[in-house]
Amino acid sequence: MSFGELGTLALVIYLVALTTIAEIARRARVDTSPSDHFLAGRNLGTMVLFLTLYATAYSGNSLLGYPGRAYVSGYSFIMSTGFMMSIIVVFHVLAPKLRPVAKSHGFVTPGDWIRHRFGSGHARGARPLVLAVAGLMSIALMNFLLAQLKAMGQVASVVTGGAVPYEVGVAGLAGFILFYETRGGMRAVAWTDAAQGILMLVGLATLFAWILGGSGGMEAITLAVSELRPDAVAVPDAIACAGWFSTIALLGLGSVIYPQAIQRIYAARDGRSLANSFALMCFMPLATTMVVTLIGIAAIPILSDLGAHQSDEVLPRLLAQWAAPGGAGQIGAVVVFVGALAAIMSTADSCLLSLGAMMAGDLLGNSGSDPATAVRGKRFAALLLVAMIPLALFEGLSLWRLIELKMELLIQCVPAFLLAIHWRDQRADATLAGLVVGTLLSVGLTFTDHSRILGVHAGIIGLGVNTLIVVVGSKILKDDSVV
Amino acid sequence: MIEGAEAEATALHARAKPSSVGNPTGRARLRRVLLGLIAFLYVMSVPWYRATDAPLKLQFGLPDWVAVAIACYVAVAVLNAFAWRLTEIPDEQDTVRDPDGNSSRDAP
Repeated sequence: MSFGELGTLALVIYLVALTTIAEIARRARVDTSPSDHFLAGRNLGTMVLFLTLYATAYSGNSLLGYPGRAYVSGYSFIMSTGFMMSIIVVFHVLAPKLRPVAKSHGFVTPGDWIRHRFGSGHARGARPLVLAVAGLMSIALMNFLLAQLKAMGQVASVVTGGAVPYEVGVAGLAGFILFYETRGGMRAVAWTDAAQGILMLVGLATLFAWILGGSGGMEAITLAVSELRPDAVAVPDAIACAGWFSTIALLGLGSVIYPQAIQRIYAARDGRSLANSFALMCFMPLATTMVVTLIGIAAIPILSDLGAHQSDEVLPRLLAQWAAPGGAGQIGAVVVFVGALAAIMSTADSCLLSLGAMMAGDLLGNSGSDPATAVRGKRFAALLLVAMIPLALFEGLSLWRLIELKMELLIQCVPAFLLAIHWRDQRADATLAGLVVGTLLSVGLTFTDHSRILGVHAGIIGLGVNTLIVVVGSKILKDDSVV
Repeated sequence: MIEGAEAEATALHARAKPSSVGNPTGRARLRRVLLGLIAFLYVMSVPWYRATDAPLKLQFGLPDWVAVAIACYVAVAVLNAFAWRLTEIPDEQDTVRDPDGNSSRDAP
């Protein structure tokens, strides 16, 4: 059996398994409320919650983009282990306070928190703030979804040996996600995420074992890299170290307020399940991000002819080499490809579910308890996905650049969540002003080729100014209202 | 009488769990220490304090500054998992305790 035939068979088995899980999830549905559709009836226990957090956080970018980035940057990309770990550290600031409020007031979307905290319709700037936060989050999520669609097409084409062309892979798998997400909602997404998370771990463990076994261990790899690319093993300079800190802050703060991450805080069965899931998540950067980083570095001597613009091809090319002799290598490569596809689809389905919920609930202002909101959310998700497929067929930006652009926007919502949950005097109008200025500043810097200043991301600079405006503005406006 | 029984039960509970980890205040203090250590480990994981022209030295098959970074991240994972085990997340707002164990009814 050829690699393409084996890959096609594995893909079919995987999709049949997902359909079965989605159908079981549909039958487990309790009612047609938005809470049941978007949050699985708020009943996710520790293991399912942990696996859905894992599969959602570790996307196609983690498996396809990060090895390429490590290939280009060298050992300094070990920072990726740190920034993925920082997400679970920053959750300490948000989850313990947000969870009880969300449970008591039946939150479904991130905007529900903003409405609750700032009092939509009463406080000055509250409704525009909900719209601004939901709009910014939606743009960031669409960006993320687009990256997943592109990655799905690439992997489907490679795993089937070209039998499924890129365009068919994008459209077909997007349709598949829409099918199971629409039928089973968060329950189907979480259960399929759990299956996908397990597949991802198996794939990575297999790949890492092959890399270490075939390259003579880490020492041999490091020495070979140091001969070919001395810069890849050198101690980073001051600018690179500033960039390291900045990336940890950018991704740690930004990832915590992913709408799908916030919705998983809402969807937990209880506080203990949530805390236990986070405790398990602490170790996943070591098992996932560190492994793919080392794989990317090990690829430097193996694929010495790749350019920086071909960095997304590192993992597919490595696997092609592994599969070439046939036998166990071929099976292992197929497992990794299906694991990568699982990672991509699990992130895409969560993005889509959150986008549908935010568009129906936050942008259009529908009630979180009205069953019609769930129906509208499904329709928005379908429309959005269909609209994004043509964009995904345009292969321009690399996966890493897409995730960076997304974070520059998303991080401007941080004060509305991480600060507002702790500081009673924070005002809606000051928060809105900070968000607008921070966004304009970071987008402006990015578009004028200043995406980093002395290693610090434009998004972090924007967040600094944003936070300053929120704090000073809230103080001044509070004093004014007292007078 | 009831108050006396409660006081006795509290004293028994305290004797059964002599470590400060068992009570909310002790857990909160330990949690804060752990989060402080995590912040310190993050600062040390970035090789800002190393000379950029230092010759390559290997530790566990990796450049030594990479081995230090990984060691820091392994320690962060362990300490953070422990911190989450100590974190109390209530289910209802009107019984809100902050993650450090302090009660509050009027959280934002």
